[in-house]
Amino acid sequence: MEQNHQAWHSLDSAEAANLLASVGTVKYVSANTHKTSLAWSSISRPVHELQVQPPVDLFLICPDPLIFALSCGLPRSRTLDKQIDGGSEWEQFHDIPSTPLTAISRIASIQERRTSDMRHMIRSIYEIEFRNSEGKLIGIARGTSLDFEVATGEKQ
Amino acid sequence: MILDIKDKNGFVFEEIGPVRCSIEDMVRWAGSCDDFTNFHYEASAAQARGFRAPVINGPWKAMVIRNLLNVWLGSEVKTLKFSIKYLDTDFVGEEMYMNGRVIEVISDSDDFVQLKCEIKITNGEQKVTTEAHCEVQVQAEQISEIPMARLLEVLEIGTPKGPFVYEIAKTDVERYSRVIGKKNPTDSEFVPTTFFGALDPIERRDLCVDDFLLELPLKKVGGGNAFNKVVYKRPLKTGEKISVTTTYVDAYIKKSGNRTLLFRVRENIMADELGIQVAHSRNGHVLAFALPSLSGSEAVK
Repeated sequence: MEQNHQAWHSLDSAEAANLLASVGTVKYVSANTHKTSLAWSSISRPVHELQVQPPVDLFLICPDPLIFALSCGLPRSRTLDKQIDGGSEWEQFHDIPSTPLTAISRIASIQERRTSDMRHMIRSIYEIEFRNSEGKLIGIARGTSLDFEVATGEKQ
Repeated sequence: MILDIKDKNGFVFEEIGPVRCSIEDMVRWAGSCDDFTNFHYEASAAQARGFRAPVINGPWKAMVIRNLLNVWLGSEVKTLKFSIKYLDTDFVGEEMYMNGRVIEVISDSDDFVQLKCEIKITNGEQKVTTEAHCEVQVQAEQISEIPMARLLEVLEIGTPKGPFVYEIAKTDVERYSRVIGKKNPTDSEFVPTTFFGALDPIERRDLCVDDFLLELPLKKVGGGNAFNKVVYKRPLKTGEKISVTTTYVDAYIKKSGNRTLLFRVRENIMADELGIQVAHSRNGHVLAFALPSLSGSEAVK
């Protein structure tokens, strides 16, 4: 059967299998007032419509899921020419408690595909679970890293 | 701002922009999330990577959009799920425009509305650089009392509305007679006395000024005509054209047990084609709400 190279499919290698088993260093996190204030000022200065700082949510606890996961020691695929942040996702199931959350990060999937001009691309999705002191799942953040081959003309 | 309870699907948010992010904003962002990848805030580092200017962090754009939901939907917004894709690069100092709309109403209750929204960021060349989808829960507007000021404003107490002209067609009278239980409508040219009540622009929905009362996020427990009084000078005849002018004359609240009753009182002046008054009516309509207890006097104006 002909394989659809342009669809994402699991990267089938021992290295990928090892990475998928990776769990980052467990962190205990809560909203840091100074960092929250920096984040708010960085968006409210240029976007004048933003006038009221919202209550703490998962966005403020983990504003950049990819960076957060990497800071927990998880590796990033750098086998191809360029790496970029491909997107982020946040799901919040309960209000953020005042006590610290336990953050457990892992690599949730590693997939590859070919672009329409047959360039190789690897997508790694990092997933961080945030649980309260009773183990209840408060929210999940996901970050996406894209590692891709640039077009021949773009290579330096 | 809070969305009205109805017609949310397809609701388009007001465009925000142009927004230009500065180097300083990027440095602040770097400090907030410990991402010190320098091509986000150093021109030379960006150029070395082949970019014409420092690149705006994707999650910075996510944070902007997430907070714009509060601007668009009100402060009582909970973001339940948010996913964002960075489709193209946005650069420090260049224009960005944020647009969004509601794409689905997931659930709609008295307390909460759950919505799916789609938000896009476009650059100065109108190219979509960022696309986000989110599920949010918006707390319904909470009010604990009837907004009398708004009601009085729309009723315009003392200001006549109309005239509304109604021709008394024979077929209408026959139908009316059947409805009120007259088994053998006579061939009399005079119409039943109670037909005066049918010449009412409010009942006929020709005059609708306080429909917002039905949309209030308050528990409604009843409603209907409270009273009707007609004083007529002569009977009406089929074929006549009657002009009706309606004036709201009063609006007040009364407490009855655990119900709050809202009365609106209107008067109709009915005149024939010569402009001679043939009747005058006074009608009261009531809506009953279950509100938190009303303190103070029994009747509140």
